[in-house]
Amino acid sequence: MIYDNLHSGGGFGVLARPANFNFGESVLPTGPGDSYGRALLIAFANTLWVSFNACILATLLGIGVAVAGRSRLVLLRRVTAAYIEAFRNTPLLLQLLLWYTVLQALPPVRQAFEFGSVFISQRGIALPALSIDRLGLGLLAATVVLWIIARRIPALCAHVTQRRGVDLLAVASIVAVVLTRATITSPELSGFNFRGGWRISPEFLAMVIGITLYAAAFISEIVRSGIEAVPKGQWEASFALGLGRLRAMRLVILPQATRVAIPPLVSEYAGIVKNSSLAVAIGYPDLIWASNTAITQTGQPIQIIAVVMALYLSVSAMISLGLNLFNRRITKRYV
Amino acid sequence: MIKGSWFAALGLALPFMSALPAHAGPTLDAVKQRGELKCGVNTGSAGFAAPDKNGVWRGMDVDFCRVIAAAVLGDASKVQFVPVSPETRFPTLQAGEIDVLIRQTSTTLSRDSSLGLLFEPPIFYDGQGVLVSAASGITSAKELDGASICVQPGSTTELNVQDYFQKNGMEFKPVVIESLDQVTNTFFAGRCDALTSDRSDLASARSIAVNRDDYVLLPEVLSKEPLAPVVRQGDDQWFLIVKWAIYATFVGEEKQLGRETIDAAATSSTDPEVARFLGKDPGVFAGLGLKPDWAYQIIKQVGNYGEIYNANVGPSTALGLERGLNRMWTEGGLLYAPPFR
Repeated sequence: MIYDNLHSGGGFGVLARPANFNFGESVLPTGPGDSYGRALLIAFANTLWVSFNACILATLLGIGVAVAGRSRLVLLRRVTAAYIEAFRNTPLLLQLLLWYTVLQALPPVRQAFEFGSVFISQRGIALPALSIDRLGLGLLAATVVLWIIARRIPALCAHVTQRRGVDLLAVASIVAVVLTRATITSPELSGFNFRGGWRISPEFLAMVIGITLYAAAFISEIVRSGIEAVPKGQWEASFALGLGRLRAMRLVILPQATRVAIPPLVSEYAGIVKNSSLAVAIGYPDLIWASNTAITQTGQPIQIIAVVMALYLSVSAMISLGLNLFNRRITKRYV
Repeated sequence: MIKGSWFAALGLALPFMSALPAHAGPTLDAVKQRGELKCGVNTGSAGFAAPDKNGVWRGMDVDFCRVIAAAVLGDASKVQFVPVSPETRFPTLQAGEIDVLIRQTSTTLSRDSSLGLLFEPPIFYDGQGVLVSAASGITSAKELDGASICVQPGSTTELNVQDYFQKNGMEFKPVVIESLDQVTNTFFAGRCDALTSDRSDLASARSIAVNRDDYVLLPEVLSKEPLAPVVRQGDDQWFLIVKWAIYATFVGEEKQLGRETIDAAATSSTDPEVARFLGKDPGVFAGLGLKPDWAYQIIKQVGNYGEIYNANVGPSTALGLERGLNRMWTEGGLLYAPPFR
């Protein structure tokens, strides 16, 4: 029966039909005449892009909050505790709508806040962009490849000083490329909105801010449990070696905490990807957004939902696989 | 609610996977046995389908649900309203969860031919419009090159605005938000330069703005949107019942039979078509399988087309929509019912 339905109305042929999607923003290039299949992929890339940003920022913030939560300053501990409680215990959808509403309270585009060439308005943030031509990109890629190869050659990098020399050379080369091949474009107000430069939409901002703050509250608890799982003796040993609190944290405790924290982090990252589906509420063009549109336009929900499920499943599996491999590596290193 | 519609789509898709062909008998029998019509309507659109402050559904679409209940069951109040989103409306109907869908849905070729559904005669001739703020000074959609435009997803709206901009060599940035409330508020907040939807929707949105006069409906009509009820294919009798129930409201207005006047007409009219309309020649209706007084019950309990229009969306309501194309053919409009004979 499921087989029949998957093949109803032309089956997955629907994915090849031309769609009339217009993405307000997208990581991949879009154009008229894209098929439904391509539109879903473009939307999936948007989902991954917003999730990627949120994962990185939430991890950094989460670690920061976890460390701050162990501070000796009572005020700092109280503030972090309040933050964690507030953000963990209210629905993410509500938080996203809140951030989106807050961003809409910014001034209209013509009265944008101006900081040099950076403009902040209801239409998001517009700031100067660095664009590098193809030759420049090629040179940068070559530099990175050469740098990796150089660092792998023991004769070149046996000593710390020599390693530094290689690093310096790489940095110098990157700076040189940027100075010669890059151009800066600034945003300019024209017609209804800014053109040129790099523009971040309020939908994307609200998504990243919302998911980051929400997920960081959970991640900080995961990191905290990791830190507390490290035996007290490790702290004492570090102090005995003359390390300060922060250096002990960075060099001794956090690496060991990572091992404990990774399994729950896997599900947190998968959760971020899944939670990004709330984007439909505030108009960020993610995978669910596109699939909803595709469903109403084609009237073939079964096939499209099947594709969406497969895409979400694959990204969850990838996250799980990647972090488990990473975990195995650091387990080998520290145990 | 937002997430809800996604889950609802999935939830609706599941029974659909197993139960599509197993449709139990003709719809008319099912409705009679249940004693209630299940009618899919908008989740909230002032003037078309929205619960009032007492929780009673009000609006033009809602009244047409009642028209069908009056014809089939003899009682306009025997309706169960099922709110459906743009994504769930067709699957809900396909799965047999509702008997008829009356939800500001435009007839299009692909929908009529590829979804296993049939579109009834339009009950509202609409067209897509564009709403802008009065302060923007914009007077024509042609001035919108480069604008951000708030759109509700899915419906034909999104495609029409795309076509319009492409045709005129202009560009726009869509801000597509799931719920009509949210997209309307986002527009009111100033995120977009324009809001586009069917003109009926825009009138509905404008009627809830803090100050109606802050917003201007541009003169351009971007598309044809014949809004029509929808039924499943494969039950011809049910298709005919809904079709003729709609026509009965047209004939009611054409023959000036209203809620107040129909009883007087029953005794005094000498027009043979009025007599047939009132059930004096039951042979005419035999094919529908309804009681002879079905058309009388429609007019008596709900009203004729003009009464339904004026009570919900007409010039004296908050929506303030002129009749326009939605006049009887006798007055230069598009509403035309075949003869009752």
